[in-house]
Amino acid sequence: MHERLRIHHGVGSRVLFDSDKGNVPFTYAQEGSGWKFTVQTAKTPEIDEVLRLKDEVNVFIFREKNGVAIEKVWFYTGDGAVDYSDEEAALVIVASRQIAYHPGDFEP
Amino acid sequence: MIEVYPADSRFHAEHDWLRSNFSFSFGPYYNPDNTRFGPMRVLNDDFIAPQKGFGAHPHSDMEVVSIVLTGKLRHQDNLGNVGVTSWGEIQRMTAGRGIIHTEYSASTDEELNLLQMWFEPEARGLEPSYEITRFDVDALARRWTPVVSTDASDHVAKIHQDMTIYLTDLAIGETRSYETAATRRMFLFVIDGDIQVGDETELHKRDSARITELSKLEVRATSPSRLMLIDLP
Repeated sequence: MHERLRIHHGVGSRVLFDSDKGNVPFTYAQEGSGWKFTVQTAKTPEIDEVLRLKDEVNVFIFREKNGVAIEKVWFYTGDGAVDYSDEEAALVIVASRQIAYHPGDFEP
Repeated sequence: MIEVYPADSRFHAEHDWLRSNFSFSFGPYYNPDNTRFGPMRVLNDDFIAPQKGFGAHPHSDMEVVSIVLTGKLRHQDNLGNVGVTSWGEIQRMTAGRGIIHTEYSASTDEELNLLQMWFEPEARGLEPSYEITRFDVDALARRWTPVVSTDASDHVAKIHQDMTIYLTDLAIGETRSYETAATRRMFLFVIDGDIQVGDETELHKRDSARITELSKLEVRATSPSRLMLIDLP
């Protein structure tokens, strides 16, 4: 199963970051009651835009099979933090809540 | 100050099943000078083909209000809510700490036209919730009728922000005035018809006005009109 990190603007869903573009390495793991993402990337203009909109981003893990998302996990970052760590040369995201869903969920 | 935004100044997006008009920056439309009016962040005037709609997607920390003008809007979410809204009803969703939902046209033959508005809540991390309320359509001909407010009631949807959304209908030549504190904002949207605001400003169907530093508003219909007025901080 391929996992892909995507960060969208919460107002209109504009894609701000996609780990598949440039094969950007990232890790995420449960930390306490939340989740911590570490994205190994330079502080590019794309990352600057994520930081500018940090209070209203949607963070997703897309779980894909044959290029198709079969599950999406959305993470709530509203009371967490989205910051760039110069020390780690990484975008660091802390999320407090997640909801997993499938593209066909809640259809009529 | 009254700033007029003509209907055709809105960003227009067209897909095979969806026509949208964005009053504020949204998705592919980004104008740094047009991202908000106080806590108001989104007003999308959407036209959706029968049985089509938006698949599962998340929202957080926004108060989402939908007013259906024609057709039927079907909502379903991860909290277990399923609802169908039509004219005379308000759908209000508090996204808070997160909600996943779908929105579809429930009509089989009629185009769905809805006004969807997003407002920043007074606090982040609220408990997600959803409701449909029904307002008195006949009252629109008599007064500014509150349909969404921080002061909720059986016929007024609850919003977690210090604001009220009113609807009203005006016959040709009829006037309606509204008073608020001059420190407040007023957002006026012409759903249908033509009006004059004060002595100098004309607004037509789907035009809007963002009003500041004014405590009294007087509108006069120059054709039968339906209006939405939002009083917000």
